[in-house]
Amino acid sequence: MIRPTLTWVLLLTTCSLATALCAQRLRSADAAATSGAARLATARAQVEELTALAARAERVALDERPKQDVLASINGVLATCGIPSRSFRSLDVESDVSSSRAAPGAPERYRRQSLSLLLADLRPAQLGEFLAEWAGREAVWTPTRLELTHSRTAPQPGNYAARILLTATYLDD
Amino acid sequence: MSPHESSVVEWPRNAFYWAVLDASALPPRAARNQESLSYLLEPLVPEPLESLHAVFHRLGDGRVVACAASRERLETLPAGTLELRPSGVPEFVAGEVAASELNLLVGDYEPAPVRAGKRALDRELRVLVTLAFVLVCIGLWRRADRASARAEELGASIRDAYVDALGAGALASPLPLELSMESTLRQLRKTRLVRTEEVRSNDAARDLQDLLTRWPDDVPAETNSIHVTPEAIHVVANLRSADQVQRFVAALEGLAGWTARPPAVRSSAQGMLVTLQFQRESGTP
Repeated sequence: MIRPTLTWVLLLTTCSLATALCAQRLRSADAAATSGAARLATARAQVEELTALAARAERVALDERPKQDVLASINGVLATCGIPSRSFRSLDVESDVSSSRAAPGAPERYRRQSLSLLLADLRPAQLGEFLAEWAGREAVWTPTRLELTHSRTAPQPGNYAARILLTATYLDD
Repeated sequence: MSPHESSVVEWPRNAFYWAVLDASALPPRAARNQESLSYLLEPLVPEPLESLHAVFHRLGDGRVVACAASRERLETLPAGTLELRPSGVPEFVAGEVAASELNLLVGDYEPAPVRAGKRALDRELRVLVTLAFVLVCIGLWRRADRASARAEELGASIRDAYVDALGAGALASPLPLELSMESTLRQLRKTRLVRTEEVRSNDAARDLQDLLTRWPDDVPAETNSIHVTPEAIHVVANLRSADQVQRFVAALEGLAGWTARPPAVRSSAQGMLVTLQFQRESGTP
């Protein structure tokens, strides 16, 4: 019978250590693969949710929108509708108040900002196109008040001057 | 004489010293130890123990049979002897041990070929064991490589999914892609998944649209102004005759969600100036 010698002890110890290291490497790699599969499933679900949410209209703005941003949008809509830029007369800040409609205990608080837009010398059809295009492009800004005044002295007497109050709700973080 | 016969030598039993030792008092490890058993044998042999070479065989019940021969005589063995055993055993151990189980050429007297053979076997076993472990390690290593490659592929798929959804700009962000996605989703949920009653505003454009769909085409009205507010709609128009006023008011009166107030009519240079007011009904969006 071959008795265990120091050589055998060293050999078995070394082999066992090497095997243990390899096994540990395999365990780590398996864990990484398993975790990766779970993370991929999560990522796909998130992408799906993001796609669905992005397709929805924005109902609330993240932050207060600077007046110049809204002005840029107005100019864009006027251009799209073929309305001359001279029809734009003014855009003024009307108000920025806390919204009282949030349910008690709701996690989010909202504020409403309103801007008063004055457009002049518009045909009714042009006004309709402007409002339709605006609704499609800037769903957050709702026209909450419209004042149409028939202008008899304008270059086109049958046209209207329109004062539109645009209101947007944004998160009060 | 065959080669096997020449390598095995038998001496008569009286050429050996025999003893049965009681090793039951010894600890188990000591009972297997050559040195401990030799101490038990020493008082029982007539010669100094240093001049003898002994082998021991366990009989059971803690008893051990010892068989010893003179070293001097062992030196006289022919070269090439592989085994030395007694031709028989004493009566007091007959039936308990066979002579063939007692080979004195062990330990210091182990023949060189036998020792070489044992070393070779030991070497081969070490090689086999090492090879087995190496194969196991190679297998584990390769499986780990495959799992790592799979993990990398999954990582790349995750990255691609996030970049496709968030845009290439997400890679430039200091935030990890997962956090960028979470942040984007949080923003979208806040701005898109909002309860209607919390953010609803009256849409004056829709109210105007409702009004204009009821506008009578067959009544030539010269509109001075139309005001639409969250609470009310005011229409001021010039019409030619009372009949036109009546038809105009009748056409607009059924505006859904609105209660029409009695119209105000007065004469004007163009005919008749009518002012219509509508009040929003409570509970109407």
